[in-house]
Amino acid sequence: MSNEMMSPFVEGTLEMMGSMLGLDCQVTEVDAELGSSPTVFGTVALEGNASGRITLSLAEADGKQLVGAMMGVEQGDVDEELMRDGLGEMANVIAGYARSVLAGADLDMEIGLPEIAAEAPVSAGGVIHRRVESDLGSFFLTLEILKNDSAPAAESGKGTES
Amino acid sequence: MKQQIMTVDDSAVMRRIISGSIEALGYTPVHAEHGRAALDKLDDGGEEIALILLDWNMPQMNGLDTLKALKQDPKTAEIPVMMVTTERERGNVVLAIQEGAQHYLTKPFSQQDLMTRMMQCLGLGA
Repeated sequence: MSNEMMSPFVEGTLEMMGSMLGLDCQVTEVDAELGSSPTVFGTVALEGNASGRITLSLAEADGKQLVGAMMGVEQGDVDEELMRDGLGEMANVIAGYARSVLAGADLDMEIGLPEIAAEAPVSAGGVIHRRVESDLGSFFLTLEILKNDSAPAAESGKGTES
Repeated sequence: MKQQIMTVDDSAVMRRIISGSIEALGYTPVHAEHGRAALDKLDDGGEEIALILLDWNMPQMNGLDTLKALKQDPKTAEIPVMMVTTERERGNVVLAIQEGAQHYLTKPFSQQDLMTRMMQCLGLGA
């Protein structure tokens, strides 16, 4: 179940990075421990017959590089406000892509508006992490999702996707 | 000939990305952060708007409600609307078309995708 649930979010990430940022990237499964490098967290809530949230977390410098690539400008032209806005939009695009794929698997969810924070959201369990690496920066993609009629739908593992 | 294209999107980054493509086509971008703001701007004078690019998932007034309002107002009903959104479920795409959207582009998109679709909307021979 874990990889089935995570796959649409990984596909959405690859699609978003390729078409909007022009970047190839590598996605790697990682354990729950993210380390101390992320300082910005962009979250989109998922609500329906499965619910939870998708979070992109990264260091501010990586965020400015990636948002700059999305906008077609240099990192120095991306201030903190734009970086936060762009991070939210990246999370929104990934969530929207995954939502449509999961709808075909009878998981109907609405997505919320992006929220940006300086601290990781508190987890309620059912968490999967992926590390997304590109030439311009890396970020963590974290999915927390629970099917509302059952136990946690997600758990973590190790491996590599691309 | 109308020379402005309105982008309605709550993301400043997305508005800037889209504005680059609008300017590349020789049009002037006009922005609104959500549907309510778009309707207010159009009420003040939308005579020069050739096309509206409309996000779906926005605060205050979402894209679908904005689309309905645009098509119900005789002053704006004839302005072509392209939904530019993460919303890609077939039922919702059909709903937007039924409510009067002429075109539909899902995020993520490339600049080339966006340019091509805008040219189609504007009848520029893409």
